[in-house]
Amino acid sequence: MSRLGTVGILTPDMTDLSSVDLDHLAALARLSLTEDEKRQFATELPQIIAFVDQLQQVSVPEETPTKRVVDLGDLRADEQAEGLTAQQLAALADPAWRDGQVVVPAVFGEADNA
Amino acid sequence: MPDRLNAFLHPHLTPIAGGDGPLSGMSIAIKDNIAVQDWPLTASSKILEGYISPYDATVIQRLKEAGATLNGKTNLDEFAMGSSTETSAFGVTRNPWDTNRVAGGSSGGSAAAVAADLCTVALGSDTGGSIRQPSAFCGVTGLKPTYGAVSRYGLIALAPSFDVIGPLARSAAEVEKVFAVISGRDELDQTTIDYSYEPYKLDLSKLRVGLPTEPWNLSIDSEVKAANQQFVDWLRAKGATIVDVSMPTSPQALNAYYIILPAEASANLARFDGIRYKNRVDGDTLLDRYRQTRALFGSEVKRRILIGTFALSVGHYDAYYQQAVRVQGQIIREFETVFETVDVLVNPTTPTPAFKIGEKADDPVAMYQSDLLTVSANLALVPSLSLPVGFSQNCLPIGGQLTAARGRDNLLLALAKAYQVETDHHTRRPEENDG
Repeated sequence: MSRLGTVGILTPDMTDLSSVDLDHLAALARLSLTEDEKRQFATELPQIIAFVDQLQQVSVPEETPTKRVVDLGDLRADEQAEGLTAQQLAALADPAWRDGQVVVPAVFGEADNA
Repeated sequence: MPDRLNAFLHPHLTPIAGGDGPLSGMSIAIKDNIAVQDWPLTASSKILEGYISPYDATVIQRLKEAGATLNGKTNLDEFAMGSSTETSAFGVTRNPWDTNRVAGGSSGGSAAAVAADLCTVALGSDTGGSIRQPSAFCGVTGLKPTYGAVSRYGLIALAPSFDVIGPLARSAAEVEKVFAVISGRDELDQTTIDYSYEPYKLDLSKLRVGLPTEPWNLSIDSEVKAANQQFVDWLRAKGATIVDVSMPTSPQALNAYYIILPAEASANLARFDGIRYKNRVDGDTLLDRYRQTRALFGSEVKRRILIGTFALSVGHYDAYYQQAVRVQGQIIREFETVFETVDVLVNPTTPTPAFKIGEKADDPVAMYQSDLLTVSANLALVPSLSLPVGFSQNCLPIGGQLTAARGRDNLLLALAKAYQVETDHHTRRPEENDG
């Protein structure tokens, strides 16, 4: 997820909840929402955001930490480990297996499932 | 009983019989977000309906090598997002103590299965309380291990910086046996730590117990508080030193959690795109296929993906996600400081006993507040255990929570075992209740 930092328009009220743009968020998340869901979320999402918004009142040191849960000091040896064999893969992919390759829907253009 | 509770998914599965080993004879149920080769892996979601796992999670390999019998997959909140198992796409799991009430979540199926004697031990996962809260609601013992003590290889990721797999059983002794087998460094999970289980020699007269002020001051059901106070009295009678400790940032743990978790979940669930995991709904364009396939997610999952997308988006990232991470850092430091003066923190696991099915389903924020007492341990990456400490007037189990410093899972287990030698809350069985 590319982060553009604090560039961009920061409105004086960062938490103007009436401006939660549900359509925009759904588009970013590749979600389609039914009309019922849009109505439901239009109420719920601002409530949830208002709830977590209390975090703004906590004063914490300004330095931006890297989110790191473990120190990756001990990396494993750079050795190839066993993976699936071609036969195993063929069995799993069956029937979407052709010429030693897994058949998936076309990413560009129309898919022809021949 | 099994059908009435809906604790298990995929009832057609034949148990995988175990052999010799330290867990020989133990029947273990597996939460359906943990991969068992050739068994379904659905995360209780329609988007993974029919998907069969091609591999074993590391914990499953270790259970098999230890001789355990795997007897099925248990129900959960969809993608482990929830505190009641009500968001499962395959129906709620009912609490064996009162089938009008929830078993808790997200590991509701696992907790109910143990409480109803449908297995000896169950595996669950805990990201914000999902082992401990259902354990409390169902009257069983559940351990959220130290983050990194148990491999996540083969666990469907929710918030990978919090997720931990852990065991649930009636007794801490059984939890300990399974934890000793599944824990330890795994080359396939770079976030595991060098960990090797050693039982802890507990001397109760030297134990320093901290009662964290802020959790105890929350609005907690009076019976839950009373049962936990009795547990504290037991500790005092055994010679433990009891002190009040303050953790001033802990009230903000829930807010930080409900920013960080959706942010990570929104990234982790991006992989369910109609290309990789069997199920797809075709559309005219690739984008349509993504959108229509992902319409198979339930409402809570969509809600959290949207919140996460919001928290990570331009203009909000710093105020929400970064702020949450800074607050998490402060919580980690507070825990480290408090464990310089005490060995274990004690407080109730949940604000109330099990609530009624449907009671909170329409109020997401009320549902999130079920996690008030459990989330801090996830943010702080420390081990935390829930054990039965009593019952309410209407026979609902009450859980007490023990939390210790990173790596001191053995202390928690030793303390729970000592308590269970002298009490019998953990041995009580639910009677046949009306449905």
